[in-house]
Amino acid sequence: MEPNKHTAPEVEKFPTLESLRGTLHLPAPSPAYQTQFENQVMQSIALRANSTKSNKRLAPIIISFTWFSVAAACFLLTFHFNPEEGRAIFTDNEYTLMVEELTQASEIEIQEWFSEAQPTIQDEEIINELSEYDVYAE
Amino acid sequence: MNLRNWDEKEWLARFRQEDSRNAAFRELIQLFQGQLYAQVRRMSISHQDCDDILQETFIKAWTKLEYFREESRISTWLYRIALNETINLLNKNKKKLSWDANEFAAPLDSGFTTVEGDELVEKLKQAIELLPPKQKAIFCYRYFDEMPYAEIAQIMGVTEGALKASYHHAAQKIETILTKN
Repeated sequence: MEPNKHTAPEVEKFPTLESLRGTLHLPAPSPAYQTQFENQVMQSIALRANSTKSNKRLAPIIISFTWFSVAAACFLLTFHFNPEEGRAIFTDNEYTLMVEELTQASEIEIQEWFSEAQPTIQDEEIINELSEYDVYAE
Repeated sequence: MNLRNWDEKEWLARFRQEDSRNAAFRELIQLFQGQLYAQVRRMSISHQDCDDILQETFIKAWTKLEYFREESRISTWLYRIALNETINLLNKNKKKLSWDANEFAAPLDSGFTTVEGDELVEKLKQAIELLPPKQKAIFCYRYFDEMPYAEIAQIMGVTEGALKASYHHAAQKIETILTKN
């Protein structure tokens, strides 16, 4: 664009406005300010470029972590947690293996397992607390 | 280097080369900073805000020039970025912004020189300030820079007919304010 190349005839309809043409001057930037501005812009560009680079380096880590978290949450929700009962359940496969182990084990071994599985005081406290919420009501 | 002998295609080729990119961009700043400053500043923007807008304009230009499709001139494209930034700021700070008369009466810290205006000139400044952002832009492009409607239309993405009507309304409003006692 070349300044003052084109005229604006529309303003001729407005005599006061036309008479003021050229009276309102804006200060031109000084050479010192221009240089300072130029350096500021180049510095900002360099800073943003660096920040973009470091973001690019971090991005794969953040994305991997996010996907891992989502996958872990999905796995837990699907296979190890029944939200209706509010407690962990066994998958069919795990249940079958457990039954096989029990049927093959001797009576002494079974007794040992059950004695180990006796609830501790702490477990009982938890069970009592849960029963208040009808989780173990059945 | 000035705009008359500036070869846009040759400049773009230099910008697209890694080793000459910084020098080419500095050249772009030197070429357009003055014009853009005047255009933004006329729209009732303080020196500090104008400085911020221009910085953001050039930074955006740097990041987007890679994808510049050469459908318009670089100058038009730069004006469009600056205009969008200006309108955003004007809309955000409608109350805050004012064309401070003191900034014209005394030199600014940044080394700018100013010209004192009489009462009518002051009225003109105030009248321009009263225009809505887009109308203000159209008026400033046309009245101060005498920019062709076709170019304003490219910058603003509106038809020439709409621009002419908008300019006429703006000029009418300002003339009414100026002729009031």
